[in-house]
Amino acid sequence: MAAIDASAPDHAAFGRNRPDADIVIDSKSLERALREKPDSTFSQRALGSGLGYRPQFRADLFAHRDEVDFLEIIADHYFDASREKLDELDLLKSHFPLVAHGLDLSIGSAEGLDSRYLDKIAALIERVDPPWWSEHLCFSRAGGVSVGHLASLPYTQEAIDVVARNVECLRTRIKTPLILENITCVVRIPGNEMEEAEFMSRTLAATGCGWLCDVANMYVNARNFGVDLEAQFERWPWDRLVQIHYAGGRARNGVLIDSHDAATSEAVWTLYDRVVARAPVKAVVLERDENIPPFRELVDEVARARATLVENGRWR
Amino acid sequence: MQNIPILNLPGPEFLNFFGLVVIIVLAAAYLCIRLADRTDRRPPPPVPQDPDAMEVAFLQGGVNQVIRTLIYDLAQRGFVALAPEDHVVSTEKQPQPGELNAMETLLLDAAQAKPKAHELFEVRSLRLLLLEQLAPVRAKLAAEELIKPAAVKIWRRRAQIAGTLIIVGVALAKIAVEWSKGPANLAYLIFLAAASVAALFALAYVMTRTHASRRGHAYLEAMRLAYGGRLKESVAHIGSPGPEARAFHGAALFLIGLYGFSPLKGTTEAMFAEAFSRGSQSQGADCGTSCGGSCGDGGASGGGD
Repeated sequence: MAAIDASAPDHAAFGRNRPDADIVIDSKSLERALREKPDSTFSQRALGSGLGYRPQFRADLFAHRDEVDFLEIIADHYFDASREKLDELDLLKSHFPLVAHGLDLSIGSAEGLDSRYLDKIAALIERVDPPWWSEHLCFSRAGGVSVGHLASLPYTQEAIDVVARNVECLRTRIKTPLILENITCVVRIPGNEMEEAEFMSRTLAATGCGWLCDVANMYVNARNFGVDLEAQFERWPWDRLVQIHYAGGRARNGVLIDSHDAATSEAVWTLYDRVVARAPVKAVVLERDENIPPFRELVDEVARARATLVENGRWR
Repeated sequence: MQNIPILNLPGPEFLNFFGLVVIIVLAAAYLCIRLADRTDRRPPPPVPQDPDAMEVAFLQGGVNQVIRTLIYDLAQRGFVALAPEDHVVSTEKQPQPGELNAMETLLLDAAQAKPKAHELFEVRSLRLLLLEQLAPVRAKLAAEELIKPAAVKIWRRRAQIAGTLIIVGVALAKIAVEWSKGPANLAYLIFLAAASVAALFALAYVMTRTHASRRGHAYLEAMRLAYGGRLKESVAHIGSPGPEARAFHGAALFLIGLYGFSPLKGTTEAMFAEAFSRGSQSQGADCGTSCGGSCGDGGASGGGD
């Protein structure tokens, strides 16, 4: 993950709806939508222990198909896709349950959602028809400029309102339930009004979204910012947990980086086990993007994660 | 017949009409043969986790592809080698009892005569023996509707006969009418009729030359998409020292069945691609239109695949 230039994003952008926003909804419809929001929209069946799909291990994946319960695809990889990529998507869909994971929706952008991006992801979700799909609780665009990074939102009520508005816009296009993922922070935005756990809980309550808990991100943030995970643990929105991400990372200059380029650490496994024991998760996904090892090692991690699900009655 | 107005049209106008008839006949033949194989109404079966090399080879190219795959495997294991002028020869290495299965033994026996690569495709007794061994594979593929249904062969024959009768019948009727009026230049009509019949047979051949049904094609395509990356890895190992040099050994052998020898071009094993390519060409030249198709029989008579 590249280091973020903290001065680059326009923080004030989170405080208002800009006139050039692609989609703006009025406050009355937002209030109505929030009142009507269901407590939980995730009655779908559990999917088990899956893997974040990367084309590099496609052949190995098919040769070990029965060792992976489902796949998570990166939605953005299939936007404006070639015929071959679409065939690949159809092939994956015909062999595995799929969920989709978006990268660049920028759900926290005060200027609203990018309508072109929204069109693309809506089309992709329609094609894949997953039981749910996920995005990061962050912003990656501000003032029409792509940050090129998943940037942390300020933990404020204003940011929660922005996300709620954007999610409501989203729901007019995509009926498939959305779950939001906690990200790693490189810098904390000044002016936070609450801790990350509370921010996540209140955002999910305001939006009606489920939670994609990235235990690696949770661990990385706790370590890098000296948060007492134990003390904060019960403040996370466990009643909204749908999916877990886990991955390995590395340390650079004393800072942990969620780089998805190593095996999951014991510390993250410990946290993972605790989370699975705490809440009825429906699906867990191993993320690995670089330094991809022999596929057997990935499958072993998937099996390790599945064992905890089974032990806790989350999976057959 | 003289009373039929169309047959009394002047030459150019009649040729227009004749061309229209030919187009309709070809389109009807296409539809008849195409609709005889409606196996693609069902999606292809899941891609296997451990593809069977013989099953894949048989589906991809009938007995010829099975022969290619077996010869390559025997060469990888050191039992046969390619000699100059495309000869396939057995080596001094002798198999241990039970080391080779029945089909491998058949091929190794055939290699004792040092045949040229393409001659392996032409030994009818060998083909029949291989087909006998492949009967369970064929039955399994047929049960899954992966090989062309028998109806394709029936409708191909019907389309060829009916189409030929219509084209030749219309041409002969015109010739009879014109001759009854006196000498006429009908060479172009005769040429056009012959070419149209040839086009009809070529169309039927092209549509039925492959062994796989439409569902089978989709299945093979899915397998290529799923395992294409493994082909690149295996090809990269060719020529490397040590056991990795047997790039398509064991579980990877199905890739030869799936892709044939063409991926070997540009590697140190390009001679397989060249020798068997020449073999296929000479085979095809002998074959004409009568061999078109395997249509599910696996090419017992020598498939022009």
